[in-house]
Amino acid sequence: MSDVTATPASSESDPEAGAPVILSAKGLTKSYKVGGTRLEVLRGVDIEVHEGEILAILGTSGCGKSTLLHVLGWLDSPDKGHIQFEGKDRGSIPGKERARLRNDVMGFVFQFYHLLPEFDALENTMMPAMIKHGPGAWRTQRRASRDRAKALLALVGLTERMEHKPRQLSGGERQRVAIARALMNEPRFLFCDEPTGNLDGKTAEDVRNLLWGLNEKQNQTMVIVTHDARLASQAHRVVRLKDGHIDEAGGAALVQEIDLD
Amino acid sequence: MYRLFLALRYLRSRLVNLISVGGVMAGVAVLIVVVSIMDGFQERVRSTVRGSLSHIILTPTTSAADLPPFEQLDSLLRAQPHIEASSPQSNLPVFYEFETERVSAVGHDGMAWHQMEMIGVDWEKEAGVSELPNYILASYDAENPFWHPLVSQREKDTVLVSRTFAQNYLIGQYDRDGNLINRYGALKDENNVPLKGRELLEGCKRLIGTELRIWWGAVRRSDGGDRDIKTNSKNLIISGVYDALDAVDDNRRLYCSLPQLTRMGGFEHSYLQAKVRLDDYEHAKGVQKSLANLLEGRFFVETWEDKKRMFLQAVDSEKVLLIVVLSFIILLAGFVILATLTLTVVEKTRDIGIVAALGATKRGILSIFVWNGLLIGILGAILGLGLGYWFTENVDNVRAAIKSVTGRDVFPPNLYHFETIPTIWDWPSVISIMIGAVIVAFVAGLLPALRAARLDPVAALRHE
Repeated sequence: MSDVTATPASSESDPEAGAPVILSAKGLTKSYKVGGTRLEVLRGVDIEVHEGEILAILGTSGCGKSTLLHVLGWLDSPDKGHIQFEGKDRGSIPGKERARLRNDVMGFVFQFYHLLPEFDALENTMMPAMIKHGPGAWRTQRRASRDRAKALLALVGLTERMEHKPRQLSGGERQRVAIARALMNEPRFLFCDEPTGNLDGKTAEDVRNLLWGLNEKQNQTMVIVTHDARLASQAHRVVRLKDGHIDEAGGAALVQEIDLD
Repeated sequence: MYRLFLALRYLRSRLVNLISVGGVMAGVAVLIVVVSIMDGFQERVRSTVRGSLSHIILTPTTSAADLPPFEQLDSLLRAQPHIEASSPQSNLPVFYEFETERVSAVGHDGMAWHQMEMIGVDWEKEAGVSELPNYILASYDAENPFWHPLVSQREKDTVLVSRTFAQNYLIGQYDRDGNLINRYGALKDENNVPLKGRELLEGCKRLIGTELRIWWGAVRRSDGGDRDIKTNSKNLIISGVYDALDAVDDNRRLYCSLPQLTRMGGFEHSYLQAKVRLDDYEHAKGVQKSLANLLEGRFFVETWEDKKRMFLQAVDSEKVLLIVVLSFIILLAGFVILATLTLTVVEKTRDIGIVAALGATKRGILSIFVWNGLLIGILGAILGLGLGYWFTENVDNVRAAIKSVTGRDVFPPNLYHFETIPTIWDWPSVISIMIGAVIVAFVAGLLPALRAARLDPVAALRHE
């Protein structure tokens, strides 16, 4: 367990205050051709992510949340605009290096879990480490990776389920495997796309607690996109994605509304 | 590391991949077996043909007066590098006359002719240049199969006949006591089945001392130098039986001593050919060249391959044709790999998106599926090697099994004259077949792999 919680915990109060900006985006635009018409999903998004914060991006379904997350996570490229990670511009980094950063620096948790069906929970969790190390390095890293994957699965409460294939796991269990996998290479960011969107109330709460616990214990930076205002309201900061723009105030207002309830 | 790991898992989790592996295996095994058998067959045929032809054949181009005595030629030849032995020979076209019920070119008095070649050799020298002495099944005199006691008694000549000829043409042959040997042909039993083993040797002993009649034309020159051909016929005493395992040529070849043939044919030359044996056939081309220089046009110099070029080419092209046709099995397996991997890529589109999201490069995704194809190829090639080896080692058992099931002998010995199917295990051929199969599998895997690598990870993630 010690290696999982190795990152020093942040101070209790207001983790993002004064913390450095590690990811920033300016003027992001992205459009898709659907049928004959061009659908403008992002129309100039500006956003900053501070180290150690939980940033929630709130929006209705189909407003482009997932697209924004994919662009921020370098899975997808913007039509226009700049994304900087630790001062380096995305555009100046070659594809191979981008793949390495995606593997090493970013972790993804998807609404539909996206586990590989042929592999058991432990193998799925180890996958990012396997991708990171070539066959030569893997020989020396195998044992350590295996131990870390086991520790992560223990952290998400799946010690008993390590040798189960995804189809033998419940939705909540699958999402917890996905979270363990996302943490495998000790990422700087965790990108979560509706992490509780497919789960029932109790399970959703468990997954939320798990994610928030990671932030508290390991100062894990997280960007969560969701349409669930309740979930968003518990983030350190909430922004709202509407009509392809980021609405900082809108987010805060919505959260206040919920807090009043 | 994940590339091989994913490739292995996809390979294992899909039963249809086993079909691809099986296809490659079958192709590799069949090619290995066919190449082994054809190589063995080719080698056996070559050694059979070479057995009676020797390595290099010299044919005089001079008049009889200018022809050096053979002993002189022999010592000259043996002084040359790589030449081990030489032996003289003459050939005479003859007709064997036998009884038949059918009308024939000879007439309709119940007789027919079979065209043959009578070969005169020096028995003592023959062993140095050809395999003929090893092919003698039976003879009256083991030291000289051309000798028979009746020769001196009745001033007759002798002949050495082949087993095949005896079985096919010595019909209505009477033994020395005047009993009919077998109305279907000598060296056969009552059911027309060729004799084998001890019975064959007994049959040969019964045959030796009996007579056969041949006709031939002998050249005579008048005092004016005009050439005339006089027809002769004579009964020859069978002094021995040989079996050179050559179904076609054995039927047409009779052997006798060289002086006898020179006398029968009225030859002016004491020999019409000189056969030369080398220490290694590899040197044939070089020796051929140096002999042509040495003999200054007095002899025409050929290798046995020159003599049998058409026949050897036929055997070789048969082998190449079989290999080309059977390679299509591997090609077909390649298409199966292409189809199944294309399906796998479609089916695994979302997984491809996932590993891309987890940081796999396009190259990495490409190699997952290239490895998949390669593993099918490698596995199929190794299994094919095992199966091919087993089949080649047990080819005669397999042949017996096929015969017992279908009632058909796939390699009838009376056609090929080999009791066992000859095989040669040639590692370079086997390895190149295996490498070929792996290359086919690699290429077949490359196309689906390129398709996988070109997928947009975001679109792939959305794929249901």
